[in-house]
Amino acid sequence: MNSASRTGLSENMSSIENSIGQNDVDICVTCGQCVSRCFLSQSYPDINPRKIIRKTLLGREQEVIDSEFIWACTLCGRCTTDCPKNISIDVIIRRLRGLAWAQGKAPSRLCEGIKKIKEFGNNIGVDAEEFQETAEWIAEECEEELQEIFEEASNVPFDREGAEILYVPNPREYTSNPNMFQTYLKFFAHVRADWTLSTKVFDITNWPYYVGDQDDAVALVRATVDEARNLGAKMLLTTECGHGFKILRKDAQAWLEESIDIEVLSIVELAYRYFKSGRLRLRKGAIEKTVTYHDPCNVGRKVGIFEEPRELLKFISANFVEMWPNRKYSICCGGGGSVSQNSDMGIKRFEHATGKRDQILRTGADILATSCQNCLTQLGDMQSRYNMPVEIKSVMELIVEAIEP
Amino acid sequence: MLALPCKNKDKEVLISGMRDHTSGQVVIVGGGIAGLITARLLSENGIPFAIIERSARLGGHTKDWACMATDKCNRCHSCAVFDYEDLVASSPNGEILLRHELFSVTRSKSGLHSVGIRNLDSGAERELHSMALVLAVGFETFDPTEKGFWGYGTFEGVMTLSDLNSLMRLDELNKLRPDNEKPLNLAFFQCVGSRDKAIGANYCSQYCCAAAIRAALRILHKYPDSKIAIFYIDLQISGKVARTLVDQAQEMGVRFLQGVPGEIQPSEDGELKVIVERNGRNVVERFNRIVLSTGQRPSSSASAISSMTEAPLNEFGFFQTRSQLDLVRSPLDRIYIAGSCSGPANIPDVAMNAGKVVSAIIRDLELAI
Amino acid sequence: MLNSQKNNSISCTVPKQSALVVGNGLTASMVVAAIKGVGLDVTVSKFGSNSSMLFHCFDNESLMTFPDIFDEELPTVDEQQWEPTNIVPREDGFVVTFDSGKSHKFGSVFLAIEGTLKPVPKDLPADVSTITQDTTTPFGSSVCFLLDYEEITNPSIGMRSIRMALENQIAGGRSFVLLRQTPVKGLLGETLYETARLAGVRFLRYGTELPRIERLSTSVESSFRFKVSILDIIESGEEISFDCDRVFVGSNLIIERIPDGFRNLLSEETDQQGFLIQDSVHCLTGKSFHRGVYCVGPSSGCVDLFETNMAAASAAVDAAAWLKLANAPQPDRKMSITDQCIRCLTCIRLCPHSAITMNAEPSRSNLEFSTVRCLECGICVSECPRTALDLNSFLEDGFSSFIDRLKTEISENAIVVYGCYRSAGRAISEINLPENVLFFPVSCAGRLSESILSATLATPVKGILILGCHHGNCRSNNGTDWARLRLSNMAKRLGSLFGKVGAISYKTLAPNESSRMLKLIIDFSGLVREIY
Repeated sequence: MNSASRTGLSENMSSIENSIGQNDVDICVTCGQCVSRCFLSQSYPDINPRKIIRKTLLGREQEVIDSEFIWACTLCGRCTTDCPKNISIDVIIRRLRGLAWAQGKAPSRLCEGIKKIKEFGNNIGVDAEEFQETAEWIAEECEEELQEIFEEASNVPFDREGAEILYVPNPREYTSNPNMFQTYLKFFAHVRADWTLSTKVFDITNWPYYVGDQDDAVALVRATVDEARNLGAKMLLTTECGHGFKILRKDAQAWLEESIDIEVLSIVELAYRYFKSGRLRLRKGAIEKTVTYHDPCNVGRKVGIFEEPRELLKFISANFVEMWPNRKYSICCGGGGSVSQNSDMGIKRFEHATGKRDQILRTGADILATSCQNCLTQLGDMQSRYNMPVEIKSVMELIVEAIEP
Repeated sequence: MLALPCKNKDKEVLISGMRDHTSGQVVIVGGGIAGLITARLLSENGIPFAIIERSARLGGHTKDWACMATDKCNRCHSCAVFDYEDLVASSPNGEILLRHELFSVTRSKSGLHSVGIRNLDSGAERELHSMALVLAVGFETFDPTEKGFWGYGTFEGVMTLSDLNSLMRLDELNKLRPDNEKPLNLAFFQCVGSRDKAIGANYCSQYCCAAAIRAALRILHKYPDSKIAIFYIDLQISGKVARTLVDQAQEMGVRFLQGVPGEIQPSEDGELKVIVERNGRNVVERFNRIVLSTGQRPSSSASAISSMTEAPLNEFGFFQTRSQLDLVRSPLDRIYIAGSCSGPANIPDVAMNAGKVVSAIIRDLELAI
Repeated sequence: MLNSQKNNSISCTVPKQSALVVGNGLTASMVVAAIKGVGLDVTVSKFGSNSSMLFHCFDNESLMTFPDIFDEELPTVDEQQWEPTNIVPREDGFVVTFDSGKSHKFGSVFLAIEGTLKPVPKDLPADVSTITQDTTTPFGSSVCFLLDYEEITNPSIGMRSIRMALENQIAGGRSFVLLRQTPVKGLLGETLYETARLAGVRFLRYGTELPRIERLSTSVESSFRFKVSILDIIESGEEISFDCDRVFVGSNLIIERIPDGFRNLLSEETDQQGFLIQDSVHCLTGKSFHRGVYCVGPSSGCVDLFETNMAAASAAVDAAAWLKLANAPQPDRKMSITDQCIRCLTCIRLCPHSAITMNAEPSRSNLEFSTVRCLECGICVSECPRTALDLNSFLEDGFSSFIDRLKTEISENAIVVYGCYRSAGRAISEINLPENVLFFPVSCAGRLSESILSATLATPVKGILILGCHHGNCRSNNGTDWARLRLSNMAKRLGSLFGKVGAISYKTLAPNESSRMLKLIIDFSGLVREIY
């Protein structure tokens, strides 16, 4: 018997350490800062980020793999923001989820979505023809409004080679929330964007990322980047999406192990760029109600986009207020990292989000703006569940409302 | 007024038999406790010195520090600076140049330095001939506003160890209890800005654990009904005082709790709330005051002095010493590093370190009598 | 060199610049190197153990580049291990008598003994070993280092343990460090700790419940000797247990015996743990309250190689300065003595600085006052039963005229504050005194004899506030305690004589407590007003 097995610190510890990236867990100095910052600490009193690292280190990773906590975690990364040892807990959790996935323990709803992704390239199982038809139909629904903005009637562009921008939507835009798609169409019309959709890549989300299925996650990124290259796009524009945008912007180069010569931009950043250059004209103070902004974890904390949406919102709203904490310290909406897609989490996603709820209520704002469709869904659901006296809107919705006629 | 005249300035008598390569003074940059102790030991060994100090007074950080005595001295050593200041000010063979700064350092072939200094008020410039240069520029306290989770500057009840110290210095601990009826429920957060790789400070600041415990004892001496908790990662108190201090604090009811809360939230009752892990479970603790034990960062003048003297800085921005084993010599001949500008230190460390600097100077320049 | 001297005679062959170093290990070796470095001659008395109690976290090879250590044999007084049994301070040095009966004169004396480590706690199995600097681990095996077991492990010992754990891990073994509060220190500490973690050394943290170490019954197939069980406070689910070949426990230092000569001289200068304390002004630089007497390394509670090396350098530099001073032409005498002296030797007994000695050479013995040693605290003057002593200090001159002034020129409700020049005397520069308060700085609170206080009370003054230094921070070790003692004695008597019990008070202060000083004075004024 070798010493490692006799120690009780099992040799399968080495397997987890290897799959998890040993340094991530070894370097932890158990300072405990993450314990206080995790919004789940009170809902799950027996576990916390530090303990997860500790259990992993001590060869008890299976307890964590089997726990609900790793699926309740929204990968928001708040607990390890300012971590003295630069640990990223979301990386560790995702790897643990990967082990659970490999053991067939991932939540069924996510497994179904991934199955569809593998078959159709998107998590709702829509094929290219259906997507194109739906998109065109949604555009027709708002044709009059579009013509007000841009007199020449225009069709929704598909697979247009040489277009400057390849826009990748979130499936919600052509299923449950067509208004969002219309919002972006109006924006594109107003700024006279040179853009196109793709009939091959029309899902910005990356569910394999959620379950730590790295191979499939990379394949999706590869497909997206390749499609942008095929079409000769200069810009890969993502919808108001958190993790999908973050992956393309922050992880893609490392994952693909090559440099990507295409600019990755979120639609809010593009709006900001056009606003600064004068291409997007907005009415100052157009929104009379009090507005506050929720920093989506992936857009804010992980990518560092804090000021662009604020500057836009401060311009178009008569009264903008901040919630505390904000920016990189922002509290997660509670629906990220697959939680709002995971039916197993049920109403827990609301119970865990009371901190966010109270933070919003304290501002007294009438409108809560954000720029991530995941956050929008979660916050919208929270609004109705808790009867919060606040309207939930996307930053782009407010911008389109404030466009100068 | 600022160059204090020296009594009995008579170098002939004091440095009899001095050789050519030892002509001039030992120029000490910085009049904090490290500079003062170095100066005093040099002076007593008949070696002339000049202290260059930017501010209008000697003593540096130590002079701002409060006495930590309870019913007895707790050996914080902060008052030692007054003794050293007196000893140095009455040295017959030294110059104290307040409100002066270094502006140029030129090394001659013989290895001696010609040091240009400037009076910050009059602008007058002067040149000193230095047989050895001692860098003793000290440290700066970490600014915790960089770490927004702790809400320093946002929450009224959150203060730094320096803020608490100022209250003690002014004998205004009562300000901690605006509502005098309510006992103080105070927590110290250790390692604020220390042992933190994320901000380039992957080192222990050496003084804060003992300082926090002493401050806790002082508060309890004044207000015995206070409840005090010290949140730590590791208690790192070197030397024999560690046990005595920790034992004393535990006897007085100070709770030592492993794990530093990473976020402070306002609680419903207007207090401060943190979530901590206790006995394996996440629990909420409430306090009315939280003291952030801020660590030591390199002095803001270190980089300018480094480029002037060519004495290199290490990865953290402190002055590099010749090796990990030689803690007082810079890699350059005739340049010595004293006190906390080569790395965080407490007062006893600085005192010992300064002794070693003087011993190295005597040895290297063959100044032994 | 010296053994030809007769018993009880003072050697004249040793030059004044000579220093005596008492010790037999690395500490003594470093002190010798430091003393030589400042140009003094050195003699070593090989007293005590030669096994080093100094810890560091470097390998021996790199330690060879450690600067300013002379790698040479220690010069010795004699082949025998002589113990200094008596050390008598003289004006320019010390006469040291050894247990051989011989006496020699030295300019300064250094205590540089090593001490020992506390034994393995009784509740641990017998073959658990203590961690020493020279502990070597059988590489490639499973080793456990148990720190903070009965008391906090010194960081220097902790760093050494982590280093050994790291080396064992690199060599293919498994290392476990069990601790309450990882003792690492210095710029290097965090790096060492982090390197060890990244190399796979497991750090387990226990709380109030101590880890259990059990001896495994020796069997042929198992080479493991111990079973270690610990409740990790962070992952405090089930107990974690593992087997180990070897278990080391972090111990702490004890000083079994301080040579009589030093113990007698520094009788009151030990802390609760039996280590010698040092003059707080010259914190940890090896200086005792007696100039020319130094304690370096383990005897002062230090087990760190680098700290000891620095303290040795500081002490040597101070010793050089001291000898320079002692051999220089002396300034005016600080003390004078009248023929009232009955040679009761109270002053010799009480002087905290060894500034008073008795010269037995002339037929009629004389007291000798060392000008260089005397710090003018005046404790001797205040306690002399015959009032035969006088201090020639600049502060003294004003005393009688001050008291004369109190008799006539003072305002109503006048209060006198006597404060030590070192604390109150400095703090006062930052405050504005109320008009009715008269401040008089004294050389030490211990200078305030009962007669001075009585004389002051005999004037129309309404109250006396004495401000000494905090207990433990007196430049003369116990001057402030003398003041407190005299006050309580007087209060007992004054209660009946003058009715002014509350009008005399004693408080302690530091130089950086100006605000508090003002409050003390104002509070005292209030108290005095209440009495009248």
